[in-house]
Amino acid sequence: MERLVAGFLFVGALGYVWLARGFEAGFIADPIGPSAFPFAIGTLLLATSVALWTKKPSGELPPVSWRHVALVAGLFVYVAVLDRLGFVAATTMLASGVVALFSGPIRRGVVLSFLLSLSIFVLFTYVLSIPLPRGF
Amino acid sequence: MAEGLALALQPLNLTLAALGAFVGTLVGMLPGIGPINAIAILIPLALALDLPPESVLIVLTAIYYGSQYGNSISTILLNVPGTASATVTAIDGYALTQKGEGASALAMSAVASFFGGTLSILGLALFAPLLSSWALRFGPAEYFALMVLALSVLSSLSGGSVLKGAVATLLGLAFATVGFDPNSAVARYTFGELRLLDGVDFVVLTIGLFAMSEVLLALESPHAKEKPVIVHRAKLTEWFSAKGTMLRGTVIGFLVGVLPGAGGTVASFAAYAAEKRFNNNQPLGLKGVAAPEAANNAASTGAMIPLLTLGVPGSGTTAVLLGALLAIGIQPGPLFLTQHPDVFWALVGSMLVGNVVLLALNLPLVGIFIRILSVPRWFLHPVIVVLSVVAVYSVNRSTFDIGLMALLGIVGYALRKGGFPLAPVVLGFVLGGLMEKSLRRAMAISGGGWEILFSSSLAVAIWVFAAICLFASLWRRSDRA
Repeated sequence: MERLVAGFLFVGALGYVWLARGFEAGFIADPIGPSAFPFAIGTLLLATSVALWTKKPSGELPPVSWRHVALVAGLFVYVAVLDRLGFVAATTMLASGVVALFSGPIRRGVVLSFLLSLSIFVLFTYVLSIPLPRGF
Repeated sequence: MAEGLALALQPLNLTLAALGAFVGTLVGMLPGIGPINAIAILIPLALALDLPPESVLIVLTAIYYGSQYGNSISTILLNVPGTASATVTAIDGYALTQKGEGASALAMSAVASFFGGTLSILGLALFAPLLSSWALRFGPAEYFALMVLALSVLSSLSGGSVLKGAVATLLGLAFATVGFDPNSAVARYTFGELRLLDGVDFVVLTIGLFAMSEVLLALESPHAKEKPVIVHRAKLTEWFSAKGTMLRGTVIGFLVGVLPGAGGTVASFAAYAAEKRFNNNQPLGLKGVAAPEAANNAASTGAMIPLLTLGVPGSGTTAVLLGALLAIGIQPGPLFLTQHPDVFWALVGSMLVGNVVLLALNLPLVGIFIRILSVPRWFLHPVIVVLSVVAVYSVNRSTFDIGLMALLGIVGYALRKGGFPLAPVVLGFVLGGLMEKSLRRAMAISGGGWEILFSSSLAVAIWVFAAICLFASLWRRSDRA
């Protein structure tokens, strides 16, 4: 697992440093400019990721299952439909989905999810006056 | 002081304090809302009630303390910290919950907050003018040194290897550079995405890293049974044995809290680090909750000093509080203490009362809060997901942030599986912006000469201290391996 993280870090840090070179201020605001700080961090990240690679790994690989993929995919679907369906409908679906992922009782789960979504909607809209999407 | 207390003890004000503490606790429990937003949301309500200025102050301080404690509840029980300083509490607090000792952790948190709050208020009353001149000595060079000290010392403290702590800290620093660079008007790492111009929001980062990764972790064993909740009555002896911890946390928190900008976050990390060293790196358990909670509350009192004596708010919360003070016609500043001693003492009195009320209210309620954990897992996790989504959405009212949160959840999950601590990521993220800003400001003052970083005795002292701590931790680790 450490090697996996180290690999991702290395690639990410390379891109990070490469992008840092391109930051140029249109005017001279301060002597070191916008790219020096990211450049330093990126370089240190590169160094630590190499050091990490050479260490003996100890963590195990995560048992990634379809449930993990489903949760993340579900969140992206939620992002796509939230504004159209409105908060209560979309969130009821999201929460019921998570209930299903944890193998909870579906019918009770849907009812509870609806009540949860509705009460949060009422709380945020009318008590805290933070508007949530109404839908349509 | 007696007058301030007498004012705060009037029945109306006591009721208001209790009400404020209770509402604050409830709002603070919602992940992502946190103390700043809780106060910002509730200020208009408090002002609309048309109360006398002292009563407004009392309600506000009570809400503040309440929301901080509410935040600790969701941190300890659900591992969903709403503020950067609470991520420290999460380290040992959540570990205790997993062992079934969540109730003791909650009670400890309430006691430590009370201890840190009360003691630091006495400090505020005694040392306010003296400390404000100390805070003025911190220029950009000293700040940069302080940030380096905080990051280098504290990244190694949350257990695991120094290397992994360093990786986590650097990752947080890297996240902090995303967005519009205020010094040069250059957009960095936004990939042309307008919604990244303001950078990654703190709430999105912590909820993604902590709450989402928690649900992903739980999905590994979707059918696991709930752990039985032990309603363990915390004992006086437990609190008493942590009195040294609370005292150290309070002193550290108070002194660091006076510094504008870093305040509560550095304070709680520093107190935790000090406690770790004091106990020879043994597991801290309840003390690991007591130290950051006492420090955090002491720091929020300390942050009042620059606010009241200089008119400079050092943290988001004191900035909101400044707005409220101005709204009731009080202008804090160098003349505040001599011109409005009555308001100052009323504030001190209301802070004391707020602390007492909070303790009296929440110790008996620990048994109720802990029931959150007896919600079956198949419904607890949907609730966490929904609350996270709502919290993240309400920051910018943007669905984009929800997607970002999901991705950060994957990052957090991978880091946890690899044995990387999450708290340093948050610390790096929070301090990164301030660190770069102070470095560049120092460079602008010196015209690019690096010697400015070592030009004052205070800065040199901080550098030396950082070097000693760093070498000590490296030496100790190689010694043990």
